[in-house]
Amino acid sequence: MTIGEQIGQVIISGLTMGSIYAIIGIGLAVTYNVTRIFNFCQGEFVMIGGMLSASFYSLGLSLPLSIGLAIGITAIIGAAIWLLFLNRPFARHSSLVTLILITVALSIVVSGGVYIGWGTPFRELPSFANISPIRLGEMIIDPQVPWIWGGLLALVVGLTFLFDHTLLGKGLRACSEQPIGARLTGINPRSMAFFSFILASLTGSIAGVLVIPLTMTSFGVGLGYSIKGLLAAMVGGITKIHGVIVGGMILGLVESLAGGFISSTYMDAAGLAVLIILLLYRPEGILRN
Amino acid sequence: MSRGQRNRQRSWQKLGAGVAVGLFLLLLPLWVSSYIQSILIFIGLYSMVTLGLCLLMGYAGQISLGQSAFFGIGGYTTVILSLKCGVWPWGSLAAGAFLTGVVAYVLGKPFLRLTGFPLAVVTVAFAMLIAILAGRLDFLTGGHDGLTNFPRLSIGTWELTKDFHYYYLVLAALSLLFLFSKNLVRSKIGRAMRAVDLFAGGSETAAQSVGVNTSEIKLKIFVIAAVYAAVAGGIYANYIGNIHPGSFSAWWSILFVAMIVIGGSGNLWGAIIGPALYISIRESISQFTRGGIPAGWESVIFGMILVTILILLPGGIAELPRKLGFRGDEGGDP
Amino acid sequence: MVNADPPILSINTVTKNFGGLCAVNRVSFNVRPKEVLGIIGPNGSGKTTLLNLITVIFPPTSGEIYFKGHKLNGLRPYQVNSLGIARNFQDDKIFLNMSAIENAMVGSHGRSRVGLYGVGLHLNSYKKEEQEIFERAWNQLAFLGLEKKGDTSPSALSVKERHLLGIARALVTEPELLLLDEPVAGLSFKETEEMGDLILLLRERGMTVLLIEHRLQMIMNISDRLIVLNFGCKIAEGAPAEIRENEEVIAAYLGKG
Repeated sequence: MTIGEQIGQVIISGLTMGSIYAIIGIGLAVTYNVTRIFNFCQGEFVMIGGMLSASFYSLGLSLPLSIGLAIGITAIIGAAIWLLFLNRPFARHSSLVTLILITVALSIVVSGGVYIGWGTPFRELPSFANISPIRLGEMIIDPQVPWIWGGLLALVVGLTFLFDHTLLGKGLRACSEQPIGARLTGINPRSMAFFSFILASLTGSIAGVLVIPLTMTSFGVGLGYSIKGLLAAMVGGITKIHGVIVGGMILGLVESLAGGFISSTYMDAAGLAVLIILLLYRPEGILRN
Repeated sequence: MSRGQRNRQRSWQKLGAGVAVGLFLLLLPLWVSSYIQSILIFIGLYSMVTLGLCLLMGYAGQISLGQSAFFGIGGYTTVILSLKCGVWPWGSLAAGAFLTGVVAYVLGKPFLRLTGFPLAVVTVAFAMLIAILAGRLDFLTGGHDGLTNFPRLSIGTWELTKDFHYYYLVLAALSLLFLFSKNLVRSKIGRAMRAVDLFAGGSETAAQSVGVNTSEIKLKIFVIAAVYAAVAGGIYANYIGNIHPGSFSAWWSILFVAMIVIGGSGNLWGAIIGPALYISIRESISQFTRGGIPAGWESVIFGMILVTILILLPGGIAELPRKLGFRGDEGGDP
Repeated sequence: MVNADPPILSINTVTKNFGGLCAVNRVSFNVRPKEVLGIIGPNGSGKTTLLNLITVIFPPTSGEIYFKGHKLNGLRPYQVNSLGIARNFQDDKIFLNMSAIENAMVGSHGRSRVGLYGVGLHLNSYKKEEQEIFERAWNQLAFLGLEKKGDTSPSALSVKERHLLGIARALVTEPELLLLDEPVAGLSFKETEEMGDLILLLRERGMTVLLIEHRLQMIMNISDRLIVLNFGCKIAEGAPAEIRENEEVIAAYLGKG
């Protein structure tokens, strides 16, 4: 492989994981912007999406059906979580910190529950397109990669459409930018919070099913995805979607560069270290407004 | 009865109760099995970690999800020094605490410029980073399998191996740290901490305006909490006889926070209640499943208890007596 | 009360911009030792921002501030306090999680000497210092009439008591210059008079006071001199009698309604 192809391979791989982190981060950003809650369950949504799709597929269901069911069920779980724990009457008196801690607690419960149900073995899913790896010169690209990029693109397009052209989307935007004004115009912040949570579980599970052909999944991966998603969103600037995407790509690229040119054992560590430094350097996000 | 007389009577009562409890704890190993002692040892060790967290979160209002990292750094340093450098085990323990303190000091400065959730994210990412590094730096840390067969703590030629040895060690260490913390809380440092706690009604701006160097006080407490965790980590490694990355993953940081929230971060006793509850649940479940797989259920139950506490009793279990109407001392004293 | 001594505080062409908004625009003035200097102006004229600049809660966009010869630019607020400037806050910023006396005791933190060991082990040096801290705090509470409220929780204090506590806490730091931001907000006529007497008493004891107030009558009564701000600019400076006649000042107030 020429050095150019090596770099190309690394960049492609970086942009791929970066897309996954971006998708996870978008879910976190939407929830945060609308409700000011940092949803610690996001990583669990990713994990559940992957686990469910793998399980359905291994039970014999077709790939599209497994994926669709997985995403749908995760959305229901997300809705249930919000309705039961983050909404009145239970959470009426709770402060923001408490609500965040509730999501932390729920992530403990969810991963424990998955452990009970599925045990330790890693689960996997085949690539969406049943073709052999794509070859570009000496570079090898996993067939899942275009699906992941496509997934991010579709998500961004879909969200842009949602936010700009639908009433629901505008309601979400209103809540994030001007909560009191939104209330005055009849938008119900609780409904908006509810929908933002469903969006979060949807994006999380989509990321989960997209990534599982590449990395497999198990009950304990949720925390890692939550942390990486949070880091990516915050480093890029959690208030704007393009910031989140930038943050995710940075994380993906740093991991990939470390993996390609230093050693694959230090991939995660390098990514985390660099992003921690970036966040300390610019807590509001590196994209200055 | 006058107020002064009532206070004096209460002081005698407290002293009496304290002596009784102290005697009970000291004589405990005579009556209970090794198994129970080991449970108490774990409770004691985790309590040391959560005690530091209680000072940091409950009194100074800083959210740190990095305690597991300091627990690990303390533990690994102790083991590595004993094993690879031939340092006297007690010295390794002290060195582990000191080194962790230095790390906490160096990292604390930039970390504590953040507050609230960003601080939590940075600290939890840090915890994850340390756990990953511990698993990958094979030459130093023994990789995923960790390190074992290192010289353990001993007094003279008499090596500490039995459970009751460690029971007394942990009891002594925890008591010392507890007293130190209590003195800290009831002092000008305690007031300065509370002044900085935004969640409970403090104000950094106001504190600065009356001469409190708020960054310094936050850093001090952060380092103290890290050192507590490091001491616990060092003793833990010596007790178990090995150390490996699984013992201090980022999950543990979250669990420690969960323990202090359940126990109640406004009161130093909460630091003991939290771990006690967690370990009780864990052990009860493993009794139940008789060596089956407890891990899932303990997480589920512990998590649900945490949710319930958060919704119904945000101040934690330690707040229960006050909520039920028992009047105690002012100012959140234990 | 003419004073030929060098100024205790010098504001030199200080400007503060917040994004596109100019809150303080090239303001300069000196504060003479032991005087009561009042700052007035319509809402939004930059008075509180000026106070925040003096205590370096944020840095000026340009300009310098000198206190007794020390340049304040670049210092942290707690350092400004240790040089001898103390303040209260419009919203008091009382520490809600401790009693009144404890609030006041925090004021001694910067001057305390006993280190972590002494505190952690409750050594005698610590106990002695704690007693001193307690007495200092109690003296200020008593001076301001709050001696009965030492153990009270701040939520149980009245508006006036809360204002007084904020000032007591500031006084514990033994300042030479006291900055007061609307200390009589929400007080009755009589309480306002009492606060005015208190400020004059402080001045008699050697303190310099910089006072922001909206109650024009009160501030005109007790100030030696006045500075008038409007839209961040200083539009007048002088004795209350002169300011009262100043047309620009009158226009500024009438114009703002």
